[in-house]
Amino acid sequence: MTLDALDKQILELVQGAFPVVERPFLHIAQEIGATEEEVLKRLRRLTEEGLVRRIGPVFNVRRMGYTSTLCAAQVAPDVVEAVAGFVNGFPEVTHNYLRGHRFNMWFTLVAASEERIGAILDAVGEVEGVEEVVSLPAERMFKINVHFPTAERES
Amino acid sequence: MNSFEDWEIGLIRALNQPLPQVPRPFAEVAERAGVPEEQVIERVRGWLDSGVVRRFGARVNHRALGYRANGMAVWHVDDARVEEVGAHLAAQSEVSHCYARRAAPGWPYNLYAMIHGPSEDEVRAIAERMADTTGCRDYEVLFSSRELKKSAPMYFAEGGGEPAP
Repeated sequence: MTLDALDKQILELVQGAFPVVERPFLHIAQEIGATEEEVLKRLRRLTEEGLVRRIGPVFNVRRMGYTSTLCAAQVAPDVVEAVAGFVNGFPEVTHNYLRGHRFNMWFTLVAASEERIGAILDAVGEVEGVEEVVSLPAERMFKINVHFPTAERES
Repeated sequence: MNSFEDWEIGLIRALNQPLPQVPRPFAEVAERAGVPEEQVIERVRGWLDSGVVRRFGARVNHRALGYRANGMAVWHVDDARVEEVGAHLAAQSEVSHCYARRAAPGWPYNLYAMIHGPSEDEVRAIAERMADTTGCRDYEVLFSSRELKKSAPMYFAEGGGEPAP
């Protein structure tokens, strides 16, 4: 899908500082010289096309009392689908990717406790075809969740 | 660490769902949470100010937006240099995330940078430049061949257990 200048402005504004006010889409509309209806119409289209995934808060995991980690698993190629199904079944699994490496399945966990993370890792480790699973918790964050300026894409 | 009031946990659960794309979205959130709209807006703003909420906004699909490739570059860096090299990587515009992580048996890498670029070759070239600049030659770039899941965390969801008080 092609994006015009208005789409790009909307994307920029909904990503960055989304106005937490009674009529946020009216606020955005006024900022870019459009109507609230137009902003909502375009946003729904951007969402349907998969460009906008979800509008909402990004909570600070630790401040929520939760804990997170990145896990890497070595999974036999012929059972990747079944293992993915099992892993993704945990609501605590937020992202899961196949990557080209001996450790081929990479997933992130956001869970209520270390114990819960341990229990999920134990369960994954026991699935047929999972050779190894390791937890690689963050020790220091240097940069997190930066959004890219939409106007500079395809440069 | 936070101890939330019951109504706040109700609000957090309501916010586990995407914000509805309607003229007054916080009124719908308020209805789900069973509290007034003004209270929702005030509470979310308060969480933004205090850092409980890092940011409020849309998550976008970078791939669909023209950032065609992203690679997870992982470095094995001497502990004494993690701080310096991490700060350098984080300062690069092509890097969206940068973390130091614990290594594991069979996995010596302890510094991670998510690098975005127009192609995999370009991402590899960016990582190579970073390796040259920092002198950290022990690294790999892993590309995702498939996205199996991408979702937002579900806080205080049923069955997930409660965080330690």
